Amino acid sequence: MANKLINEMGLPKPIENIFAARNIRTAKDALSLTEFDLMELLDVRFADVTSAIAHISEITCPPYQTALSLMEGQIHHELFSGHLPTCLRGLDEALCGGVPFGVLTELVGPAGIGKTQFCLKISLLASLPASFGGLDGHVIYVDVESKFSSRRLIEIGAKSFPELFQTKGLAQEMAGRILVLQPSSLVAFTESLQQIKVSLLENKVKLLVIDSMAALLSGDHNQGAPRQLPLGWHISFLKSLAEFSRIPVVVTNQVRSQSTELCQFPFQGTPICVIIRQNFFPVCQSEMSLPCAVNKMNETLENSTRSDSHLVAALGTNWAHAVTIRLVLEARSGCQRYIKVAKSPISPPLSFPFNITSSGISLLSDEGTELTGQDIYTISGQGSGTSNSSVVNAEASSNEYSCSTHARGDACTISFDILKVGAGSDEAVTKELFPVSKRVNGGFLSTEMQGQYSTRFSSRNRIDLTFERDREGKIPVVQQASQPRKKSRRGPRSRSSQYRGVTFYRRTGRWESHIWDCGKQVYLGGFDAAHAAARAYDRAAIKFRGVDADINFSLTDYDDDLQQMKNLSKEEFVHILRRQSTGFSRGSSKYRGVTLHKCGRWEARMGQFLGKKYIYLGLFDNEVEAARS
Amino acid sequence: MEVSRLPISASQRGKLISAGYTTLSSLSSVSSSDLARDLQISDDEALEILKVASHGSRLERMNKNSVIVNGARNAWDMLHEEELLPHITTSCADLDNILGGGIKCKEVTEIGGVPGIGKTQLGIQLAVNVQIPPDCGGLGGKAIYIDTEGSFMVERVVQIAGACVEDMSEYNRFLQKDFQPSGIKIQPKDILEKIYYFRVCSYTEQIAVINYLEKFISEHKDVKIVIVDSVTFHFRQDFDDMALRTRLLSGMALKLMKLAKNFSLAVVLLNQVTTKYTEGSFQLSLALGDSWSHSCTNRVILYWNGDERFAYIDKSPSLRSTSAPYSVTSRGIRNCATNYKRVKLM
Repeated sequence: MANKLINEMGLPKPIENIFAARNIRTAKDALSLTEFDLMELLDVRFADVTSAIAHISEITCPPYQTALSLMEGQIHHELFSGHLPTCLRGLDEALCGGVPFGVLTELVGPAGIGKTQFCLKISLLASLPASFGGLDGHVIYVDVESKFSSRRLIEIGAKSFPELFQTKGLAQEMAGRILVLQPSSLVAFTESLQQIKVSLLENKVKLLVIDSMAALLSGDHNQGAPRQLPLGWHISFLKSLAEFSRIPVVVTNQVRSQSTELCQFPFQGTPICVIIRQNFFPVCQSEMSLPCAVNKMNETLENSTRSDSHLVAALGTNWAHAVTIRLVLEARSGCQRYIKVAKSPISPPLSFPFNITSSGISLLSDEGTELTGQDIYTISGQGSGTSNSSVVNAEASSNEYSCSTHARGDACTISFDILKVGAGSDEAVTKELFPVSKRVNGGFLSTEMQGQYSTRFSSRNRIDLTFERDREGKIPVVQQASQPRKKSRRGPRSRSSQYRGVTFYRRTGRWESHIWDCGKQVYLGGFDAAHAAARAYDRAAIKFRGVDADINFSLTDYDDDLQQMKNLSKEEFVHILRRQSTGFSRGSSKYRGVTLHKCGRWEARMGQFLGKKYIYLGLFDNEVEAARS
Repeated sequence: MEVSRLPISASQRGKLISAGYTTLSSLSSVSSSDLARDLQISDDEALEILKVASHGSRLERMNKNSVIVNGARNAWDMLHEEELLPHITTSCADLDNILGGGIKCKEVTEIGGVPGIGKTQLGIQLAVNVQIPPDCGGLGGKAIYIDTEGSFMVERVVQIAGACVEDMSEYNRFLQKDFQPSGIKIQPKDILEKIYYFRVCSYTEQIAVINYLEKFISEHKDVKIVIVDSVTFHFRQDFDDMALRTRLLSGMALKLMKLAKNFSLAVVLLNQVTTKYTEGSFQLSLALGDSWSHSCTNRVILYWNGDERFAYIDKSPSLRSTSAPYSVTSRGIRNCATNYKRVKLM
């Protein structure tokens, strides 16, 4: 309506002619000027301008609806009252019936998690006849990364709706309704979008899928400012497209890793940094000479920065504001995949475990767990982000995947194809996935893997090692099953981790462990991997509460530690644990004890040195100098 | 005061100046027919100019003797009036506390925050809460919801309205313990009927709606809140000319402020966030730039603090800069359930 012509609005003739003479033809032209500008430009009286503007505004203004009529309109005139069921019962309930019409629904997740699988399934559903719970219409599938696999599509269909797909010809008809576009660049995509707009109304298109949005941009642009502008047009175009034709639009988005430095509002400050600094420094200054301590500090920090990152959705906040519903697919605590409703105006933040079977995505449980706080937004990729644990996770998740493919026999090859394409955008993951999963399929673990385990858990002997491997090799059903049993006893349970005493801190991007002692929470250190944090908790629990304490792993793992801890006081032992933890990198610098000062220089401080809270070591021009001091 | 500052058209102004009428005082003693002859314009137009001029000179005269200024009110009266002004509750007591009782009428309040923090939820909650009848401590008004993003979900409104109705009947029972049936029972449906919903698809439409609101509100009485969700979206997407954007935005803000004053209603603008590079690090700030941040009376920022949602008063002429936790539940915006102090460290 913004481009409505002024001469069709029924303004008084003389005024209308003046507008035309000054080349102000559409409502957009007129309303982009202020009333005084217009008066100046048109050379008419103020009263005339205001009345003309009021008139134009009234006509340009979209008609209002009451919320009631909106609801009744949805219920009476649209299939499933404006929602496309996803056939995932829990998710459908959470979203009031499925993916809603008229808005953008976004799927975010790491490579190979199942975004494309979800898209395939949902496009299939939209193409089904209404009697089978579909929308009975065409689907436009914009496939940017060339991941679309029609064989997989038919397979999903055949498994989920056997009665329909065994009927000769129907499969062809269903698949024929799904139109795949494969634009190679953003420009091509822009063109096809404009074509889509026309064909949407003509061809009874009921769903638009774009897989993926981020790939379009990452192919075209370097990082930086130009990314904002072309996307802006697409956002508003897609939204208006969805709104006007009342169809659901499903868009996938990739993840990228972001350094731990969290963006905050300026007023939020960083009180936590100070506390940690006080707490952490006694360890090094009491045990080592100063240069030695700093050197060691730098070492650990360099190690930690490598892995000290977490995943965020690509495309930035502007995009994140624009999507109405954001579903995050993630693999948490190693093996289990979860789908969670991260942003939605209609449903609470629920998370559902799922797996991928031959019939597409299926939920393991329809009861979602409600999330709070930071958990809603964090995207845990393949576990906690360290290289060690990601190997374990990759092994575990591919193990799960290959189990399901094995059961299918013939289908095996197809789904592996998909996996390969799905992971294609992230070379590193693919490389890790494949050798490992093959080994698992073959039924033995290579010696390299054992090597890795033994370096990670060097404190254990070989017998324990096999035990541990078995345990981690199986999906942690064991751990989950044991949860309710332990619940009644002492020890903090955290929502963000399956381990006792371990919480994931988004601020630092790390797993931190705490234990409660004498009514106080004692900090045990921050770790890159959840299991390392869990081990620190275990040791502390044994020290504080004795050998019968509730711990995460088996007591036999800690025989060596038992010997050691006999000779130490609680405080000393906690200090040792903290020293074993990964150095921390909070605040503005990756070096410990270094903060970015307001004036743009780096400030170095040491905590609790010689009785003072911290000593000031001076300002430096660069981070490295500051860290050295 | 100069003639050039009068709100008249450029040609008339040119004629005035060329005929020697440069100041308002020179116009004050001229009759309309003289003026018409001097400027070679019609009598009507001359009359119009004189009217405008006399209005302008009156304003000027008033400014000079500051004892009784026309149109001004003294602070004492304003205080009195302000105390009578109703507030729209947010349904979260902590949030109401820091806002001084709720969202104020006659003021423009901007609410911003990261995606998914609950801006739309707060918007819907306010649209429902404005309808709480006066005997339950509300306004009993209607709401206008201008949706630029398409995130207004009727299903959610039904949920929140249902919870609100339950709370009201609870409140009624609390007031009158003898269970006498209260006269009018509000249904969630009635609440839905009193939310006027505009779906806006471009910035031109957004400006048009806001221009049109004045007429709309005078036709539909009792509108007590205007919610724009979000004010940012269209202005963020299709602009190359930033100066034009600033101009349009400030014009829009002025109109909204005028609406708020004239009809004594609350205006709530929802805003998005952007990242801003200051002092060597990236920080979050509300979108639309610095000049926009002047245009709202109050500014509330919603943010995550650990695991809890917090609201922070960033700017307000009358309220302290404090923050308070809130939570988004299935029933709408509510108090934070876990309101304990957590001891982080040893």
